[in-house]
Amino acid sequence: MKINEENICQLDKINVSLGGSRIFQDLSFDFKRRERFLLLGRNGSGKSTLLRLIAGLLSPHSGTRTLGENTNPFLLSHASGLYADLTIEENLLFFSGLFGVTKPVNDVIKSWGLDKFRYRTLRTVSKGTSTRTGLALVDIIRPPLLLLDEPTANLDHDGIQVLLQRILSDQDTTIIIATHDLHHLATWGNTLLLLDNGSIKSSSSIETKEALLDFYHASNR
Amino acid sequence: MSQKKAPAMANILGALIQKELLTEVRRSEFFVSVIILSLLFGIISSVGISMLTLHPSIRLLVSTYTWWLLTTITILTASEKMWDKEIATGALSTMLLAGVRPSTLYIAKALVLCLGAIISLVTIVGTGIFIADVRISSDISPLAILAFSGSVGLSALCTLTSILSIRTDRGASVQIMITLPLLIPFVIAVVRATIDTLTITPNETWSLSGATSAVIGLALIYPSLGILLSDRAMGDSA
Repeated sequence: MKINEENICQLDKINVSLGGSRIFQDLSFDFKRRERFLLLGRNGSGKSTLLRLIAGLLSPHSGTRTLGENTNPFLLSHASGLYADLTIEENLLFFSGLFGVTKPVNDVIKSWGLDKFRYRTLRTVSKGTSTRTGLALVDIIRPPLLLLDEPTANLDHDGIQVLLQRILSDQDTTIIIATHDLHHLATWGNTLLLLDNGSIKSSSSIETKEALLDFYHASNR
Repeated sequence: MSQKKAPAMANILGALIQKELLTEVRRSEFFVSVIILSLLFGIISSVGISMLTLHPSIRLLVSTYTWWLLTTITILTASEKMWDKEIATGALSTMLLAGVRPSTLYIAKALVLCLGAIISLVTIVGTGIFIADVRISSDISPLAILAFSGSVGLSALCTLTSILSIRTDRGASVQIMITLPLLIPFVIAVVRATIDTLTITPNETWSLSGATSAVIGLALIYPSLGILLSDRAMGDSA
């Protein structure tokens, strides 16, 4: 099925239930190319499920999810998505090879502050370093549609700065970030999405964004 | 500048097998468990068989049955957890997002399991020959063909059922339930074929028996089924 050229992903009347409870009911939304979406919602509202659905790692019970042409999504979730028994360098070389990228990994390793850990297996490094390695892979493969689930959760201040500078500033990538970290990301993104009761409320103007943020804060109290 | 070019399937398969072996060298989990389990099974069964007063031909039959049964148990046990690491770390999702087909992952895992099956069989049979004084006097080539076909069939089937049960909450018990109906005829056929081969007298020449044909046939059917079904079965499992 073809989709509108200005969209990178279209969700049409999506229904998803997990463990007997309904997560999405007739969810429809168009994700425009090169937009930056900040996805908010309470715990259990379905943020991670929505990202997995968009990535194609979860099939809806009904409804359709359609991606634009040449749109290979990449999802970096809570787990690093890498092998614990491979070193940081081996992981980057192995997975970038699978993605068909032949770029050298040295520069990226240095940029993400991973130089002194490059020969250590992921099993022996901190969660923050694992997250940096996952983000370094994103930096190498540069997917057209990037889905990040709580990317700042394990990062220190420096790591968040590298994330903002090297990945989140990329104008060619459509990025959807699910987060609770409004301290670092509130001003990032042009569209705010709020998942509430299985549906999406969206806003891109400053006024409506503030209203949506107020609603989000109120719903979290 | 980065250049993107979809890697050939052979390259992906090579990278996957290399990764499996590298992680195995670091963690010593799969092959070491297979060898320890096979040695344990082999020693216990061989000591038991050696204590029985049996005619050499009966001893050979009992041993043959025991060897295949124990190899089957070892490989079935090893296959139960073969996707755990990929799922826990999210590496399976990353590979699927990279466009790696589940059938390619299936082939890589089945090949590694097949190597495990061969190691298990050699360990168990070696222990049997050494401890239970079982003598194999027939031509070794047909036996090697059977051992290889049996290992391919076993590993292909167990890898397939591990994928089919990956999405269920009770993966291990579901896997055993769906494996048994396919596994029992295969084990019976491979035992029958091995006995047919071992009981050839020096004056007879080896020919393809019904049981041997069944083993070779299933050793071709199970991997084909695995390749066909894994793409569909692994849909939401990442």
